[in-house]
Amino acid sequence: MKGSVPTPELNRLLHEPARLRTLVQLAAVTKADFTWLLGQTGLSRGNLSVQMSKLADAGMVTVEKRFHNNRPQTLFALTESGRQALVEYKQNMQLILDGIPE
Amino acid sequence: MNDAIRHIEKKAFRSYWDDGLLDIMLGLLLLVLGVSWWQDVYVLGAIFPAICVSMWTPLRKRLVEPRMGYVEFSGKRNLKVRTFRFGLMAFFAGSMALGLVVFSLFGGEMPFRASEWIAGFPLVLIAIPALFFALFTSCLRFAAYAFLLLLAGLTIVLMGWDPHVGFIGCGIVITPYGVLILSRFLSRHPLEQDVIT
Repeated sequence: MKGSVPTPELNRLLHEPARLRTLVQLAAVTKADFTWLLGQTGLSRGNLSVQMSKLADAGMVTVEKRFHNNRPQTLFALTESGRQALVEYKQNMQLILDGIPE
Repeated sequence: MNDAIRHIEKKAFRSYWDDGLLDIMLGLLLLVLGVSWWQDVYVLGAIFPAICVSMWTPLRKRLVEPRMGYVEFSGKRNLKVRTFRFGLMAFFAGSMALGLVVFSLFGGEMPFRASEWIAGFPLVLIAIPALFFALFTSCLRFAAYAFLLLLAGLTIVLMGWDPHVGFIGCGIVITPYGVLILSRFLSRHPLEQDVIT
């Protein structure tokens, strides 16, 4: 259509409720382990595990494995690129939502 | 941090206290203070808060953290926690200092019929931090505890009872409620391995 504003492209990695929910939780804290994210997001262990692996592969979160109180612990933290991607996703989504007629 | 993230952080911080451990400690503290006052075993009332403080971290690490998970809040939140702790210590130190000044100035003859109200004062001393804790963490049940403590303070003043009655009464209410919250927390959060595939 002539003169139409191009629709902003949404980051497909973030445009998935489970991953978005997890990233938003991580944006609110400095670091969190797998169990904490499980409780906060309400996702199943398998689902969260898969989503965290995808986010880690994309460089949006860092993964740190350690032993804490004699138990294995996997800590996650949002990277700067993850934070930036989250901000861009919000801006693009806002543009799309603003385009919806009243 | 925008409003949405701030709201999520606040909610996460509130859920950090949803295990009931602090409720049990508050309830037991009130019970022990009441019994020590009643039985004139003041040393028990003096050392029990120190026991609670020293038990807090090991209990949380052993009982709560493996089930709730581990989280590091932002530097801003940690600063707020430190400020709250400092404020709490300053409040108790200030209250003790004020008590000593009033006692040294007036002795047994308090002005403005204060001696009639003094029995409720120790409960108010615990109600105020409980209320501030409720505001700080958004855990509204601590506001209810503060209200209960104030009500107990008022009741013992009006009925002419000794303060230990209020302490024991509040402890009897808060401790089992804390146990209920803890048992619910333990049943909802079974111990599982933290793994990622």
